[in-house]
Amino acid sequence: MAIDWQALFFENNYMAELDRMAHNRFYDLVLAEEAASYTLKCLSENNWERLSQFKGEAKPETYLKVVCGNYLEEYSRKKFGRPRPPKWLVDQGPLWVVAWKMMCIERQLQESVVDRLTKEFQREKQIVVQAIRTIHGKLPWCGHKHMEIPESSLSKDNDEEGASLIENQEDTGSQAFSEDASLIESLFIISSFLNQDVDTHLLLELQAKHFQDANHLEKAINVFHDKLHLSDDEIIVLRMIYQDGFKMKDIAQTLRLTHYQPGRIAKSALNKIKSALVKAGVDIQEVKNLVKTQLT
Amino acid sequence: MKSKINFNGNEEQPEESAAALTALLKNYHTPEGASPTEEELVAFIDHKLDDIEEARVKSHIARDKVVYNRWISQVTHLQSLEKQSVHSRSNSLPIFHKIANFLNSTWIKSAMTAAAAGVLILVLTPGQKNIDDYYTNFPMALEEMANLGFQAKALPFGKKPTLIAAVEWGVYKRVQTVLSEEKIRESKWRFLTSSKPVPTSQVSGDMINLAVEIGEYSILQHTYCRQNTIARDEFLEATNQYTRSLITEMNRITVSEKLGISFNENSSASCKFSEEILKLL
Repeated sequence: MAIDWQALFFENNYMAELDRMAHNRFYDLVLAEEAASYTLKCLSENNWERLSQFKGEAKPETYLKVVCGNYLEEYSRKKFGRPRPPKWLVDQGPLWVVAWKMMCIERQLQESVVDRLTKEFQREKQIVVQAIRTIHGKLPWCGHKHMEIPESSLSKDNDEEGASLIENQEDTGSQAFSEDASLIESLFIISSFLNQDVDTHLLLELQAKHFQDANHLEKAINVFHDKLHLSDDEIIVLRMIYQDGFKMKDIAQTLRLTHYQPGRIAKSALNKIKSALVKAGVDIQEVKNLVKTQLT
Repeated sequence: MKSKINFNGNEEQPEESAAALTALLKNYHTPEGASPTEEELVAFIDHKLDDIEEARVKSHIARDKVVYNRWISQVTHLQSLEKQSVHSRSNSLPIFHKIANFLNSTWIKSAMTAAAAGVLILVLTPGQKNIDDYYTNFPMALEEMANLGFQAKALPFGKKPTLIAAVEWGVYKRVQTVLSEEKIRESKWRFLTSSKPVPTSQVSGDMINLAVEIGEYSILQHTYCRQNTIARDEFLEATNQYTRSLITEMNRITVSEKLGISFNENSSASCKFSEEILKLL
């Protein structure tokens, strides 16, 4: 579909939008300017060729915003390297990956990360703060300027020319840094995430010890997973609520649901989960107290 | 230990959260059908897909963590822009009140007036205030100033040749992000003296970048050139080479795309550069 991207960009004041995006993405003025220039250069190269993949399925304006966002991320990768979050962190959802990247790789101030993720991206503050605490507990080097970022957390992005922005996503999925992350370790993270008044550092020190008696729990949870059958809507709503900290009204708006539907969908999913837990003989209290029992 | 966790403004049992998070650890098999493209994910957000395609894309979002991550990044990005846009609109009245006050007392007066006429002629208010003085008297918080920038940029883009519009944009961009003289020194000088190359006019994309850069640089230089201070001399000296590079690149722009002015490469760094550029607008 032929779109006059240049006209769209200039006539609709997208440069202002791009500047705003860059300043929001990078609080540092210089970085933001460089990132905006990089994005503009990439977009307009060879008569806006990189937007020629557009087929007319989406609104051009929305597509352009998303592509601009991708290029800003691409700039970040070129500047700081390609982030490779550990798998245990990826398992906790995109919010954790974003917080990790801003705090550990770009070394933004913790307060600024919390502020941005809660105010601009409308996440629940409690979830953000707790995620950051847990990340800090697991990765003591994170955010400390005098401590080097481990090589395993970054790889240089050398694909100068071949960086197709469309496919060029973060390493947040299957290619993520393959630090061993057992099911129990993920449960441990969940547990420390929920036991909020317990010192995260102390919990993490005890991490190795508490797996000893956990094999039976891992087996039971595998059975639970086998018995669990959730619909697409249920999985998406659960992820948005419990992993990303979205508010119900935002979930409804995003998925074009009525305001009460996300709550109903979540309730239905939780009932299925409870039922599957009972069938598998898993005591969720055991999961929640996984760490705490080690302290007593 | 706190017995409850408040995720969504509602009291929830931690057991429920633990159960949900445990359920989400399940490794689902990737659904059948092609993984959605970037555009299809955008179309899903826009609700532009037919029922069959929507079901396919939704299934991938739900069951493939990588796709979910891509989609949720788009959602948060667009929501954030939307939120800022609403915030910006809702603050428009008080901001314009503040703009009016600001215009009556500061150097930006002539720039804003010219903007309204669609012609930019920047003349600094006589007097020897520096930018820090203006900034001190500026009544807005920083975040409000950011909004002001985008409210005020009502330029007739698209009605002028692209390169002129880009130069004009650069001027505005710089005018509205200059917060203090100190800031200029820290940021722009660092920017100029870093490894950042002058955009090359040989590539069409860079030509626009070059024009934006020329606009930004011109107003910055103009600001310094109006001052008879050491800062001016320091600035010109430090950016001498950069000015020359910009002029060289400008002269390489093909005739049809030229900005309508030619420079002698020997012009070197002087206040003439910014004067000539600003006359064009």
